[in-house]
Amino acid sequence: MRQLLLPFIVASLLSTAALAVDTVKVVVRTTLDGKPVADAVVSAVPLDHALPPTAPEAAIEIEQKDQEFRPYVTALQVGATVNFPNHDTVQHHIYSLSKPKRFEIPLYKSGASESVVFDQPGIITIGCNIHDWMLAYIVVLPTPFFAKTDATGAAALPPLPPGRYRLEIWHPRAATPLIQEIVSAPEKAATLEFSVALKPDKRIRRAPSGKATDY
Amino acid sequence: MKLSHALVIALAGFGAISLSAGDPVISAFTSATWTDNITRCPDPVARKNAALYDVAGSTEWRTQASRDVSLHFATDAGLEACPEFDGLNRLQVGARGAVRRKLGLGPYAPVLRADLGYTGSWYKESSRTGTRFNAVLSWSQRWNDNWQTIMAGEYMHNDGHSPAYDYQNRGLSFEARYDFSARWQLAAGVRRQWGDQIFYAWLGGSGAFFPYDYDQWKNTAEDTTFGKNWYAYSMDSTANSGWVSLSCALGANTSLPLRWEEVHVFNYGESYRCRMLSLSLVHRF
Repeated sequence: MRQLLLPFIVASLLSTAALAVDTVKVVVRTTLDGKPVADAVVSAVPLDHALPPTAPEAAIEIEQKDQEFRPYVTALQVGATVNFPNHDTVQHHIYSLSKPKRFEIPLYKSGASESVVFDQPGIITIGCNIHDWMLAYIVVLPTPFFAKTDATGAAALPPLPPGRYRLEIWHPRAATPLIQEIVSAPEKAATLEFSVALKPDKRIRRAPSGKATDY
Repeated sequence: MKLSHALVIALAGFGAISLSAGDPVISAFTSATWTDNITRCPDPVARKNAALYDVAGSTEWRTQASRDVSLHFATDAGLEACPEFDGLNRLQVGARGAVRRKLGLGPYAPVLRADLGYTGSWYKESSRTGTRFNAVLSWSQRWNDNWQTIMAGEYMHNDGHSPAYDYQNRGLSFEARYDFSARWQLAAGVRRQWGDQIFYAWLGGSGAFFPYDYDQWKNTAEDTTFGKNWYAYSMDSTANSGWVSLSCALGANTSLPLRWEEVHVFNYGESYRCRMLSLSLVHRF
């Protein structure tokens, strides 16, 4: 993976000398066939200056609809609150066994909503103990500079104050995050392209199995 | 209290609790099955093959009693047709109740499940018409995103209009499922049943000379489904089954399973083999 990315990262690093930017757009594609990668989380953490003070984010929503979590991937800053409204007609029981935030929201019915504060950075996998196929990821970041790629594989970071940053790209199906250093300078804009090798989508099968014969 | 009364009360209890849970899940099922020995006949000369076509639906209510325990109640109805032997055409109506206990949190926690079912079948050949009670205790475990195994113990009791269709047996089964992806699933399983199995004998032509073990026959009755001189009987037997199934998911709630199953039924003196190939379409609304 690193070997595959090396030429590209080198090319990008070479370009950062001239590409001191404050507006960064990132486009992520698959290594295999160049298709756009949605749901990749792009973040930038300052390396040579402190994070600016930020107002607390408004509560974020991860709904349960049609017995799935929506959205599949959510990025947020440390300290943010997530509401989990149940928009299904059935009960759900949400849990996380991930180290940065272990929690359980016991059975709750249609129309109800529960909230959780995410106070540690890290990747949190959430599931439903009733519907095993339900899966979603929450990426809790120590920085306000982040974005998630859309269906075209593109994500635009908020304007970056001048300085050096560690740019990180995470995706549920990438073996490791892509990391690159960038430099931000006033009134510069750039689009950075990345390619990522994705592992197969290993979600638990939801479709019904067949039935046995009544022999 | 008779077993059937106790069952009806138990299933009504499941129903009363589960109906309060909210919206049911409705599923539809259709299949075409070819079998090389629909006659379940030990005499290889007399065996006949046939195709069966099945359409069924079920409505299932589920209530979550606690984090780990859920109660299920379902009603089923279906029609099965056999164009070659229309005496096998049947209407089935049934009810099922289950208690499911998950031993822990997450998709890899083992699941213990107890099912009770009571089904009425009305055949065109009325001697087959009757009721069936079955109970299954199963233990399933998902080992990772790909592998899942299911072990089950089962009991079945059938009461027919004709005494030939009064029989019961019990069994143990094991199935392993491998999900290549969210789309493709390969499953294989084995089962052994002990107790009574239904056999048919053609006592005309070659059947007059076939070495049937008449001493072992129980509850013999003439059956015209396959023609003249056919007799149905049950025998204390062992049945070994093996199956392989490849299921293609056509979206989140629809699948198309192709299943091959082979059953060997044997007694001390008689045995028969039955192979079945079926293609089904299952949809959960």
